[in-house]
Amino acid sequence: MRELRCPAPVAMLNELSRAGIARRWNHFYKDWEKHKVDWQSAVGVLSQEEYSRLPILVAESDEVELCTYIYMGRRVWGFYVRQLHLPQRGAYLSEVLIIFDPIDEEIIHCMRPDAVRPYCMRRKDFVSIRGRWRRR
Amino acid sequence: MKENQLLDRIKDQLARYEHWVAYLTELDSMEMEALLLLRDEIEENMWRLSNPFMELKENLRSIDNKLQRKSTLCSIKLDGYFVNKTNPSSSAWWWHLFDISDDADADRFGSLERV
Repeated sequence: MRELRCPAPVAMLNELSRAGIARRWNHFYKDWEKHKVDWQSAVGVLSQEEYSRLPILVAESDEVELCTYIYMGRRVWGFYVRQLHLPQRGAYLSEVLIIFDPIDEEIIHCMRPDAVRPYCMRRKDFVSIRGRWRRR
Repeated sequence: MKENQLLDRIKDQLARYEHWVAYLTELDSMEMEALLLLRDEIEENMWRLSNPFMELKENLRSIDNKLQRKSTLCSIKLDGYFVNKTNPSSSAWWWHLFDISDDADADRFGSLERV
């Protein structure tokens, strides 16, 4: 059985990458509508294609921080990058947070909440994976 | 952070706050929580400015009003959020809204409506 609470970082990143490539993302279009302007000052409005590639870029980032917690009764995995390089734009997006459901194997959120750490750390049974989730 | 950088950040946050409020009925509890955190951070950043920018304050108030109007229309009880913000001792009172959302069968705004 797959470890959900304390998974291996490599397994987490691989699963996110696979879901990103296959675009397994619930409510993708709605999410894009809601969050396409989250990084507006840095790059303007993100296209659907750019937005859909964010999980793949996060999974490939060297700086990604990982955690798990309970959300709406489900164990989810959190991926956070403070500065994400957007190669096609030659720009950086700050504070990118992706939430992944490892049971349904789909992405459930991709956005830029300003207070990302307080948000995740207050969730039920928050677990920092290998201590990579650092306090500011 | 320099004053002009902070100013740019606040403007950016206000634009995002307004955009999210426009999609209020589409937000789930996590996004709603992020929205309120964003709103708090905007206010905090405004306090850090050395000069009071009335235009920004007006802008924030106007978006707050939109949020309150919309939340009433879609039965999201946020009134207490703004009332309790004036009481520093209860600044984080609304976290409990989300702590009870640990219910797999809860509907989208079930936890918010149970205030």
